[in-house]
Amino acid sequence: MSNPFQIPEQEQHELDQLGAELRDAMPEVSLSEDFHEHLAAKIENSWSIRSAFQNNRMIRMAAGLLVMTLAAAPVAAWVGIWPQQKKNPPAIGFEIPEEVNVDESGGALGDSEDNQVTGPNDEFEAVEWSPQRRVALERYNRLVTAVASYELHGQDMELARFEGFSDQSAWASASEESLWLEFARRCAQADLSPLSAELVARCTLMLAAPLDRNASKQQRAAYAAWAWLLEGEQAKAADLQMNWPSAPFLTQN
Amino acid sequence: MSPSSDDLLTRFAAGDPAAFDELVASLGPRLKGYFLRQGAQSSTAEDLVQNVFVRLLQNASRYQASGRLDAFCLRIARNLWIDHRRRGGRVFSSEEAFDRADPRPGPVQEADSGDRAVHLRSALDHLDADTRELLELAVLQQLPYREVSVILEIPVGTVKSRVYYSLRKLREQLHNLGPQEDLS
Repeated sequence: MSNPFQIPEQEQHELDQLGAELRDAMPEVSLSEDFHEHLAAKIENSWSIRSAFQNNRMIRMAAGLLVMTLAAAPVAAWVGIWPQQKKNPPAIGFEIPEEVNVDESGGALGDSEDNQVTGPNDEFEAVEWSPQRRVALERYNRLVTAVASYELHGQDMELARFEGFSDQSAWASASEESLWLEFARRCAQADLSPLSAELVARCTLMLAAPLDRNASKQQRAAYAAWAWLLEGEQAKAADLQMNWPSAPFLTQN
Repeated sequence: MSPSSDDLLTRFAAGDPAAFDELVASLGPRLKGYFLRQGAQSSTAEDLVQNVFVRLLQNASRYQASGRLDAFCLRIARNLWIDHRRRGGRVFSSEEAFDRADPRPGPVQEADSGDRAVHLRSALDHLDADTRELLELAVLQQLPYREVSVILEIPVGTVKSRVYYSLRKLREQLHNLGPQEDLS
């Protein structure tokens, strides 16, 4: 039984013969005399960036490096600028931020004699300032000043790693070194949160005793820093020309 | 086409410029015939053939030697021809194209002399473009069906059956064109 899809042998032979005839019927084709000349010119002009990329691995590698370098420059610049953009230095002012709670029911603070402080501008209505409020504002502004000073002269990341004490009662026995690191941490992290009563008490206690002549560098730094922050210009050891980080607030003592 | 075309390209890639000349001499006329039968003017056909060789050089590193460099070149040629058509390039009938390419006696004179070759060319010219292209690759260029299927992107079995029906169609066209000797 024959396969219906099978081409009959006789017809296949005829078609093969027809194909051969068709080939023979095609006129012979030859190239023109100037064909090679034009071809050579085209090949010479065919060099292109695309073909160079396709055929030369070194060019591909060089181009890759160039692209990576070009891409890295803006990224590096952005990465360098980014942290600075994030920082928004707090402003020194005459209003205590809401997050700084002032206990105005407390007793006298320091040697304040004048409980009636007016604003700097006569055009403003005179406002009564409690001693607690005034001291809190002064300390807040000094902390802002310290943060700004650290921005300009500090940037010692080792100091910024100090995390303070989660348990505020631990400040009661904190060393001068810890006090100094806490001060530096606040500056480095721009931490303007209220000073805890335990921390202020420990610093006050430290400042109550005269600085030992043989005190270490960090003891001196802690003494000077907290004296300036808590007492401001009244602190003899204060040095507004803060010299971060080697000897901040250090005086001749 | 001899399988040695691959060797010629390999020799050229290895730094033998004479091998490229041999390659051009071997493939050039065949490619020009392809373009003329597709309907390219003679000068256009040569221009396109030159472009095939330029492309061949640019892609030489990517060519996997398989013994069918002619199929590779015809694939390039087909793509170039498609691009040419898309750009609005002028297309002649293959008879016209050959007349312009070759100062041999014209088709009228040859037909008057009862030349069967003229009838065959005329019959081919009356077929549709797809059928002509299939016969061009499978019959005139004598590429294996497998290579034709790759170029035309159709299965090998389809190529085989289409070639059969295309040749039958050509034979019918030949009969329709006028009185002549029977094939059988």
